[in-house]
Amino acid sequence: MKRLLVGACCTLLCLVSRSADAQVPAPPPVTAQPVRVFLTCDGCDAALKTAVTFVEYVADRQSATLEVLIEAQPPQADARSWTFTYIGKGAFANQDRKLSLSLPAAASADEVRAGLARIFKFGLVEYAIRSDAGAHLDVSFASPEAGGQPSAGAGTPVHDPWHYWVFRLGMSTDRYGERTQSSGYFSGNVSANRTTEDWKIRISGYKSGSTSRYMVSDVETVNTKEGDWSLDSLVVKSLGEHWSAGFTTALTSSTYSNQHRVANFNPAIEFDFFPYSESSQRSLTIQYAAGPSHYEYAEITIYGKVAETMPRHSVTASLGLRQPWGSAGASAVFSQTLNEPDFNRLTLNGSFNVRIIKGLTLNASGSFARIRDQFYLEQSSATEEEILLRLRQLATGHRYSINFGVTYSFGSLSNATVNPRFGG
Amino acid sequence: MSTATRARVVSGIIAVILLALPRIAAAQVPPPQTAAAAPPLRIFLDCYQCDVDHLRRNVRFVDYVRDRSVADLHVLVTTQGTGGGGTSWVVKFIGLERFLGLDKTFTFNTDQTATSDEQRREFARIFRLGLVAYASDTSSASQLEVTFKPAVSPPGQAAEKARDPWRRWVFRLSTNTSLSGEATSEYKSYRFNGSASRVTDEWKVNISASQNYNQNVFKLGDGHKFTSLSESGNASALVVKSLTGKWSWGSRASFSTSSFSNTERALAASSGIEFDFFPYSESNRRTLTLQYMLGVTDYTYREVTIFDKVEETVPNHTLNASLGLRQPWGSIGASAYFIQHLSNLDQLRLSLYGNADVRLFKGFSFYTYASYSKIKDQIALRKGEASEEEILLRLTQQATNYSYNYSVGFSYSFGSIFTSIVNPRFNGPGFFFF
Repeated sequence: MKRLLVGACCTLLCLVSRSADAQVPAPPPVTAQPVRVFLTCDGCDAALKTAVTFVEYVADRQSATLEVLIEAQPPQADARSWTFTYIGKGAFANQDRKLSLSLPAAASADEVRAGLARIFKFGLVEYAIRSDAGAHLDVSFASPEAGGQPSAGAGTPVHDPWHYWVFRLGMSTDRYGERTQSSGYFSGNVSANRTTEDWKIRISGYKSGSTSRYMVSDVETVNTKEGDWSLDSLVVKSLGEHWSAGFTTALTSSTYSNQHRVANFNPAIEFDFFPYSESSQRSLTIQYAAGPSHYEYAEITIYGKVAETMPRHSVTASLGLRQPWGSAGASAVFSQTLNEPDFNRLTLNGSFNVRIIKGLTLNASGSFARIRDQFYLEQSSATEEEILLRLRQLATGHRYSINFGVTYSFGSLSNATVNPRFGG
Repeated sequence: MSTATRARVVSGIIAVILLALPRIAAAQVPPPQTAAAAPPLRIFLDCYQCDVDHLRRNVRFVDYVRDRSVADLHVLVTTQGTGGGGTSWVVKFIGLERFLGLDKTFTFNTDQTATSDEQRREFARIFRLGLVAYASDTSSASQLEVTFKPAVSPPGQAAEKARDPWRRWVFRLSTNTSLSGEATSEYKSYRFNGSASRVTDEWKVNISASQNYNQNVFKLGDGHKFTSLSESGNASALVVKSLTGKWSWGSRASFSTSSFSNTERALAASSGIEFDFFPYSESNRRTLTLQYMLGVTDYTYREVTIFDKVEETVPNHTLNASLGLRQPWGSIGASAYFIQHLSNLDQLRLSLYGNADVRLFKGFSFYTYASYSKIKDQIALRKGEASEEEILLRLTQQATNYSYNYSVGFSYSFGSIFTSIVNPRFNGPGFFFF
């Protein structure tokens, strides 16, 4: 044990000293001064100075904080090329960069000017970002497929032997303990996903279990055990910017809900009132799903069943907004058993996090469910331990939760000092 | 199935998978060589705080890949709190492959008042600006343009920013109320937090107060109800003076009350020094601190303790060593904390903590945390037996001479390295909530 500890300490110390070697000096602080550029570019400096205005140009090398040298290379048969050398000075010392530009020999004078200015700016950005101009710089990207299908990254990868399939597996376990109580938790999951603009396929499996032990007196110990697992799949086909169709399948098991095994298959269709491509800003979807569900219970239910099969359907409406003022979401789900229409559930959810004025933020979330479909509950009554430790789902006609918060901050809010001393 | 058969089946499956891998790879014909321009940059984004889907949609001139080993650039993002309550971001572009050795660091800040949308937009802007020079020889370069739009700021705004009427003080108040329930149980909780802080490079002052109240009501099977209550409160002030690049001095005063710990009132004061083996300015990437404090705590108990006390004053000292590393291969943290009562040297506690999240090889990450405490300082324990309900609901502290907590996990992913596509269809409700 002692040797193990010593070994661990040595490894840690090695890591620290190694990472210390790899360390580079901290970035220089932001200077409000503009970048002062001494530009050398045969016959092109006037055009560049007009086109690029977020730095200052100086006539003498001594007062420059950045020297840029643009040199034309000997022309090739079908191409002309230039190299751009950036040499940092003063606050930018040791920050050098080399870029290049290559254009077809047939490029017009305008194209050459535009090309030179473009690359010149690319190189300047990392210096100018620390100046006053930094806050007003950005990069625009004229996507070649503008107007058509949104692109997936820079280009659809040319060579992907896996055809977009990604596989993941993971496992984790943890334990907590002291003299009179302990608990443990385990979970494992595997998944295979394929995501393209046209199709989305997710296949996943999950298993978890937990145990706990409470010594409630010198002679009595309460032991608990819970577990669930599931195997899910989802297949969705994109039908334009607003429609999708697909299905889900699930095979699940849960001790909490008295469900030894539940299998269901649900074909579904979904409509987004906004284009799906805007989903990280806003989405408003409505989805209808219908299909059979087969239940096998762990214990006989309040209706005296051990197994049953029921056709079910559901409608889900969901709104999500993430905007500069904050974010908000709402959803409504209604699900129903078709052969027993009285077995149904309506769940409403809403939440928002909004900045009212600078420094004042409100957040609230709430949900309400009207529950008429607990046909799977176990017949026997729950013990006190099962109730207190929430080991079993209990009969209820409703379930609600409300959360409301206000945060107000004022004072020197733009103070950017980082001071890590004594934590906090 | 016997263990042996199961082992054989498992190894069979693994063998099939392993055999399939090279075959799939070999079946591919290499792509035809395109023009001189390099393919889009392959980015490995190493960022816990980023909205990755938003970036995939708004920074589209690169390809996002799952693993560092197939990337052209590793983008390592770290954040720290600022004195104004906002976030200081350090974005490090680490060159790999043809960019080996070409590293760049960009920093920016977002205010406490920035919404999540404003934060992700600003990150995306800095990310684009940082990438553009690396992308200059790729096929996307001709579609990229650096834009400059100077804002016409009202005169005097800059001057107002420069003079700070609040003298670096920041105040924050927040409250939160939660209610939930169903037919047989109800839960209520209420929280209040307030803070005032002033942070400069030289001094740090943090004053904070909080109060918590939780109530659970359970209807038990036999018709009677069980109500659990727990409450706690805390107020503290911390003053830290920077002595040198590596040394600091600090003092703390606090008041606390807790139904769980049987303390009606605990008044504590302490003072001490801290040393960082690395300069504090590198704390976003590495820190190794040693802290020693000397203090005294005055307790007034809610109920008489196992030592028959209703109040007492205890001098103590603490030693705390703490290591934190965030490096391209992952992150590691470790700490050791020791407290001892000076009035009774046998009353002490030693806590050890460690965590690691490390990329061991392509696609494989390993993470773990573990803590262990040797506990001999439970002077506040209530005399008498706790009820079964109190024990099950963890409403009061139980006598123990140790506690431990550990977690071990791994994740392994393989397959396509490209993760640039966002497809939000059938995400279902809930994905947008927080």
